[in-house]
Amino acid sequence: MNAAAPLELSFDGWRAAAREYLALGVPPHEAIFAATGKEPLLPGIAVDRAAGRERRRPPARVPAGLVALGRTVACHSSPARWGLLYRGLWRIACGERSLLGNPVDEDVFRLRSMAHEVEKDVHRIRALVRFRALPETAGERYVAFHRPDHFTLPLAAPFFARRFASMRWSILTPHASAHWDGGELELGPGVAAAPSGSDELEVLWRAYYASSCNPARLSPALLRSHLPERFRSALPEGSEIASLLRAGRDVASSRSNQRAARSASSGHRESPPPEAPASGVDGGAGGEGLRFTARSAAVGTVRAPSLARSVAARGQRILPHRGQRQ
Amino acid sequence: MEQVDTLRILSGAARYDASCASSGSNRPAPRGGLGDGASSGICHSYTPDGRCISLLKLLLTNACILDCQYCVNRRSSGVERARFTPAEVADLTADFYRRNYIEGLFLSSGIVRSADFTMELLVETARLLREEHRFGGYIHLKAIPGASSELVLQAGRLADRLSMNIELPTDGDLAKLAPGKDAGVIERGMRLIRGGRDQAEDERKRFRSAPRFAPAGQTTQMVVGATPSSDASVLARASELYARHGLRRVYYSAYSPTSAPHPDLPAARAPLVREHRLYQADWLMRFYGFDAGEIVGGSDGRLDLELDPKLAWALRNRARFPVDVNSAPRESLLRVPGLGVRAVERILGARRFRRLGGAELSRLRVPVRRAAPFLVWEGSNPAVRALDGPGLEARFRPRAAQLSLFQNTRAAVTGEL
Repeated sequence: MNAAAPLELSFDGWRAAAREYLALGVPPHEAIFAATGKEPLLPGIAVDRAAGRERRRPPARVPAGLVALGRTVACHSSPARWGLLYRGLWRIACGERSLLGNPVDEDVFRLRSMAHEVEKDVHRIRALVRFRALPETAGERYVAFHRPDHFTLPLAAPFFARRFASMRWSILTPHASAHWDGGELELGPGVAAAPSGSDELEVLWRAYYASSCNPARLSPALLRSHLPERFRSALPEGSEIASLLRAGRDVASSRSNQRAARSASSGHRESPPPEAPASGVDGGAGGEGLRFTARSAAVGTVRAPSLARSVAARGQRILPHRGQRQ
Repeated sequence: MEQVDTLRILSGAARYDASCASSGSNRPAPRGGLGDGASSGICHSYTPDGRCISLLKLLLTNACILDCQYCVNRRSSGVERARFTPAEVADLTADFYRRNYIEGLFLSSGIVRSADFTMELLVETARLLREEHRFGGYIHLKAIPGASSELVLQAGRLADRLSMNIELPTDGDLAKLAPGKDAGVIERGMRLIRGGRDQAEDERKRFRSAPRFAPAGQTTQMVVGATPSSDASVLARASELYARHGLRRVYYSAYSPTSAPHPDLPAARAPLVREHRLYQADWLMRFYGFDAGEIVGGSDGRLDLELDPKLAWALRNRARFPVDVNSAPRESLLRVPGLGVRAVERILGARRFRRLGGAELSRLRVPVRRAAPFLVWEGSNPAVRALDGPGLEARFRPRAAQLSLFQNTRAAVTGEL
């Protein structure tokens, strides 16, 4: 599977180089990991500089946790990931065997944050890939184009192979593509842009999407946190969002007109409606609430209690790769 | 009627059901079939109201012989009616699923002819999906109160989740607004589903291949704000249902008036923030070890809409704070405002390595500023001095001037502040 993937994606390449470095006793700040052209990852220092060093035996066993974490972090787009992984390996080799269990360690924190971002990105592929049924010589092929934030397609592809085993499908991303013809998952080179073609089911899907939205409960902030704008253009339903927001605004203004008319005619003011303009949480509620308060009180600025924002911030933190909570 | 129009009507009619969860079932993909269950569920899209789209949520028909006053599809309502056949719904579900739009189907229906007749149509749709399409994705079926036990049990063997709606918080509310419904019948249905689940679980202990029964459990929904019933009674009812029927979740849906409402119903919709506070309170009961009785503080039985219920509880029970991050048991940490279940797990894990101070807590992604007045930690924590001071509550409570921003027209229009 890794053979076809670009060189900079390879965890195994890093592992070979890291073993070499470790054997030479190269400390983390001198180890350089970089993919250069067609070369695999190469130790970035001249070997003669290492000649005088004491050779350090690689640890008999690297904790399985580091290998698993490394395979995930390897898919992150940050160039710093390799050096960070090596520092973790180095520290474990120097005797900090239970390093990875310590969540407040700075290195572990950074590695875990990267892994978290990768997992979130994998989750997004699973959620946001939209297949189009395109005709092929024999039957049809389901084709999707998606722009992940990291090099995550190889991690996400097996999910589709399980779920859509009886279909023929291809998922294209800028850095890699995955193809399934019913037998074996193949990874290939990336594709710059979405292929052309249309699928008439999208008409039904857009209609479904639009009528599922309750215009009386609009919450652009919540939408933004769950479905950032950069992903919307690739979704067939993305084109509906603007008009739904407009329709919701009309509902809101007609409602406030009615309310004004009612209170004018009845001659007394209604008590202020304590309703937040946005909620719609379907279970995102933890034991937390309005987060604005401590800060706004401290700084002395007047800020509105943004339930929308606090829910949004929490949604972003909690929801990503856990899917929904039940 | 065109398929797209039917779809519009029947999905629009189904959106008042709050649940769209697809989690809790890890059904394996059938050989040569389509789809499997993702145990943590996947939200495939979000609508501009901020809700997740995980399932194709539909009514089989929005025609109904009942006249429940809070319901948009009641017999006396003037909405346009439509219907799908079981085969149409099954085909549409499979078509959507193949394009990775959805995790599966959530099918409900208005009551046509009788409870059994309706239930049979729902079961038939699920059967078509499972048997004809060899569908392994998620199916949530509504169980119709009063349907025969045979049909409900059949539904449980096909579906991942069943739900029967309790509709309103008290029996009296139900009698007043939903004359065709009976709380006793609804609870009998819940008991039946629980029985089916218990039995299937028992059999699976002995035979691994024994068929499953609604592996993602059963849920229910109640409309809040249609009657004067207080939050305390809503939560008491929910807690009772959790205990009695082993429900996975209770959903709360803020009442919003439909056309030509019943004279007994309020003219204004219930505030969405109330629904939000109820969900928070519900979370406290299920994951934080709170009892329904201690969550609502005031004598009027209402939740404080300005403060989240956990913070409100902490402010009423300051004597139980501060809590020491480095030595407190899990139960006490769970009661600290700002500390969620996962933050507590992280704290307990990190504590084994070193004593924790403010810096370590931020690295564990704990909302330190919020929790600080209720904690002591390694090193000094000046914020804790506010705990016994008079100003603490005011710090968390929006001031009157701020509240008025809610009425700001722009905010009402855009939902942003």
